[in-house]
Amino acid sequence: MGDVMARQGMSQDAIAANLFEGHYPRLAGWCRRLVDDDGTAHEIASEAFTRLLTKLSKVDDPVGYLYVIAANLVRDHWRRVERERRALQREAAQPPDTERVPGSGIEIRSLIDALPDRLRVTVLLHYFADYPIREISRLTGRAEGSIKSDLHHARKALRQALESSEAPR
Amino acid sequence: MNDDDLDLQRFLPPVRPLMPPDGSFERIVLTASRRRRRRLMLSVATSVSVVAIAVAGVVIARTQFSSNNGGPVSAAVLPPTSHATQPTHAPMSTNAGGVTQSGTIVPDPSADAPSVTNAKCPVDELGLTLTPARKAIVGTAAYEGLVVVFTNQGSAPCHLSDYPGVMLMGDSGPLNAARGGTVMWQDPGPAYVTLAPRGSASAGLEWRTGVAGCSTVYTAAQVTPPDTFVQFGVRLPVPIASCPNGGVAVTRLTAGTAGPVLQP
Repeated sequence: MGDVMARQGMSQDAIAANLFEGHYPRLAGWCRRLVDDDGTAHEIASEAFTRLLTKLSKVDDPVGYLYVIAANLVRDHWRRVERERRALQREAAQPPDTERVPGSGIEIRSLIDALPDRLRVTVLLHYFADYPIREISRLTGRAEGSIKSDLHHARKALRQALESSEAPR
Repeated sequence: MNDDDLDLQRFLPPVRPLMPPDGSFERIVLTASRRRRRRLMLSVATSVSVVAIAVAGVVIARTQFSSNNGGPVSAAVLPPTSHATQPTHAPMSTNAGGVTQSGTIVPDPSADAPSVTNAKCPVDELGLTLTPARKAIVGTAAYEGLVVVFTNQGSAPCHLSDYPGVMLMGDSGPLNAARGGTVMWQDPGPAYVTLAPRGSASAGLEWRTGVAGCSTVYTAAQVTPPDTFVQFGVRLPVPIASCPNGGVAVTRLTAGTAGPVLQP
């Protein structure tokens, strides 16, 4: 897309403004669905845009790049939150939080967070950013077959986790 | 329910666009511009260092050559047959520097420093080794460490930057090493590390030992080079006994195979 706009004679500034206007709201909304508040969603979306604009002329697919960066930042945010939650529990000497609502946003986030990195990014891009397998393959530099296999393993793991959390206790 | 029927989206609310706060685009452009400038300055500083090292190498090579021949050497004053009177240790081939048969001074290519590169190291040209580091006592806590070493096995210089990913594998499940916040290593800070062919970059991995109740043993790891999704599966040279919920951290990469500087 960056190439296309460059070929159309747009300056880097104009390309950046165009991308921001066209994609920031959805990217921030996508982040908001995965984090707990608007502020964090804006922080992640802004950081993804900052990284994109730092190397805009070298990125072939700016929108795909934005979502890959944002997925990684969301993952880092989840890790940080989880570390802080555990530290607080240790401080308070409380048992682990078992009061999560099965199937809720929080629950599914923690289940996705528990996936290995490779599966997690693939799931975030495919299920939560609507990227087709071919696009994910291109963005991550991995074969389409590997992406399909990752999604299969992720679905299996998530289904098992969801079924066990939804089972009557 | 078939695996492929799993509808994850139903567990989360639909995407609702969030409009940017006022002035956010301008802030983003400004921050990106500062980062570009900082990166450029870093790149220029690296280039200057590399050129300085290369020049120093050539000067030293020429000085040594001159001293081997009893004084300054000029290509113009060397007799055409000078090679016949050169000492046996004087280089005669154009590959090793010195004076050729035609009397031309050729700088030693080995004195050339690797060129600065913007190419990220291709994963399939990276080697990975883990080596034990010395143990450290910090305050009342004991720490052990490993040095995670990436080696450029390709023929061209390339760069790595920031943190590698390290996920420890044990019987009770995986554990991701925290990035930064190490106690025994000094984090080298953000920098691009240029790896010449066969050059290395390394990071310090540490874990706290001897904590009551923290005896989860990890015997293998999956290591991800920075900015990639590819994981190297490796067996650990020493088993790591740590808390199952943390206590393991990794530093950014630094040049060489020794890892970052240990805390004093």
